[in-house]
Amino acid sequence: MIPETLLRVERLRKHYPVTKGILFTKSLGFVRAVDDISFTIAAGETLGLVGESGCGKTTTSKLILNLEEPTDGQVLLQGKPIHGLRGEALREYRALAQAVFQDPWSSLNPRMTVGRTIAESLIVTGWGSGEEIAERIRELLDQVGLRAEQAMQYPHEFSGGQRQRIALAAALASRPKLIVLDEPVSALDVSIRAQIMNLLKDIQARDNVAYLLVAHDLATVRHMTDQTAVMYLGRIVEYAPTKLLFGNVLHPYTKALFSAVLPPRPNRQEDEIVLAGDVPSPLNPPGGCRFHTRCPFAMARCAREEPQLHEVEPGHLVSCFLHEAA
Amino acid sequence: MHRVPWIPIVIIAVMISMAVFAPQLAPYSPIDQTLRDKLLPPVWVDGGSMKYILGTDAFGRDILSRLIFGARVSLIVALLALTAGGGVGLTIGIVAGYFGGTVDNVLMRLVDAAFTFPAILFALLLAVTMGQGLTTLVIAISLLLWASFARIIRGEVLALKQRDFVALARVRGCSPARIMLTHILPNVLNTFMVLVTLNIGVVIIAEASLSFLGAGVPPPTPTWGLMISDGRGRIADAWWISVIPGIAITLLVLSVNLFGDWMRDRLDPRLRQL
Repeated sequence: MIPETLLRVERLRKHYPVTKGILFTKSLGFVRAVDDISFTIAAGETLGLVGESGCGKTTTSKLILNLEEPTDGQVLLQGKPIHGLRGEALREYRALAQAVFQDPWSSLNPRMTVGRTIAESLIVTGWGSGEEIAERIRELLDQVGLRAEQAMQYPHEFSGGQRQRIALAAALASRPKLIVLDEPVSALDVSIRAQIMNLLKDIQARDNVAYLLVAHDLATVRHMTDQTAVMYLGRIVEYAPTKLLFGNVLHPYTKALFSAVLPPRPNRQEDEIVLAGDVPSPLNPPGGCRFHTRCPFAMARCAREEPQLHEVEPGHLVSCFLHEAA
Repeated sequence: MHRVPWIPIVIIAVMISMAVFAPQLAPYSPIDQTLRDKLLPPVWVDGGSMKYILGTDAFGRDILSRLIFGARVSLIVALLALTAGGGVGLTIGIVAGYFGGTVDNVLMRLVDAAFTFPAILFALLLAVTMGQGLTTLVIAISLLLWASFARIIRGEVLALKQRDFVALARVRGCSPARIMLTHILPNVLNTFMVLVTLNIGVVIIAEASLSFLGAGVPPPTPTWGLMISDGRGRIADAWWISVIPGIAITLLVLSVNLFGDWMRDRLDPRLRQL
């Protein structure tokens, strides 16, 4: 059975204008934070979005959460475009797509009780009576492993891991179909990470909610995701089912990402790629393949032409001339 | 950690009770003249008596009674002006900071304009056009205050809206108005309260200056500024008429500022977490 497509991202672009001057603004160009990316997430599935800082992961998640307007392209949730929504339609969409962010110290309002934070999406939509909402808060706290009486407490009384549980409870309140997880465990102690990841998996198994997991940590991605997309400078360079990708890394950039992780068996010699230099400025991305300035396998053609994503094996897409022949 | 400023707190409490219970506390009427007893010095000066502890002015009015009733005007003006000016500044600061862009630009240029405008001149203009009185005084002082409130609160909001909980509130479907009321406002109230206490002194001095210049509450209603103004012609022979209300203003402003400093340190969450 092919699972139904929940989220479809089509040729999404987000360019930020860079200007100089206050009164007579002069355009210096555009930062292409997200430049023509497409992917889909099926209901109840997890897509991992990997890449180094500044590659456009967070902009992508903001676009999907409708916190930013795209320059071009569209995002469809259950077949309906999400941008340009107003009033009731926007509220309906908000109930379906929720988020948990990276920094548990910044994602809770210090002046609001935990219960109010969790119930906020319900209060805003007039979901039910005070009694029903209180019951739902108890239920949600129980689901994320906190005690019902903790609803009356303020965020400063909780640890980072507990705060992330509260943020998750708040995201689950409106029974969303999609939760954007922007680095949900990277700010936590290693000992807490596994707990939160397992909690996320349990919730997914029970509620059939889909996740977009934005991460830079490959171990997290491998543990959590069904599909993985690797981003570099606003583009997806490799996109495949996670099992396939972790067994057969094709793009040189993805290889470099894997080389940067400590290997499980350090004695075994593997071909390592250590990247030199910095990521080029997205204000002025290199022509041709964006990775050619740092790629150890770059050919003359890479500087002239831009490779497109193409299927190398079933479900495994790569944008690199090295794998074109296949 | 800073110690609780007990002396300023006691002084402020005394002044507030003076204002509240003025009719009960004052030994004489603050406006009735007893010309027979004019220009009597305070009790500790030669010629003074227990009848008029702080002496009398040129019309034989009891200085102590006028001081007690004067506290009323000063504190009422402070309360009203801080509520009006502070409230407007708080609202404008939140709106400008949250929306940013053109809204922010327009509002902040208004703030700049308010800063360049000579407040005393404006108050005199108001007094001439609207007539002297409490309302004029409160409006004039509010106009002096709102801009500094707006600027500081806006800065606070700019930092606050970068926090993730504001973006998450949008994701949960909160409207801008709701975000400003439930997420931004409660988080700037600390700063606001500190600004209020730090500005009480400014307001009291402004009230005194405007009354001194004749743009405040009309005589014979006693205010501290007016009392100083009354006595300035006799500073050589009857210094107490001006000096005693002067000391009262100094004490109150100093106490309020010390209290405000302590509040600021107390409410700063970065200091509190230590």
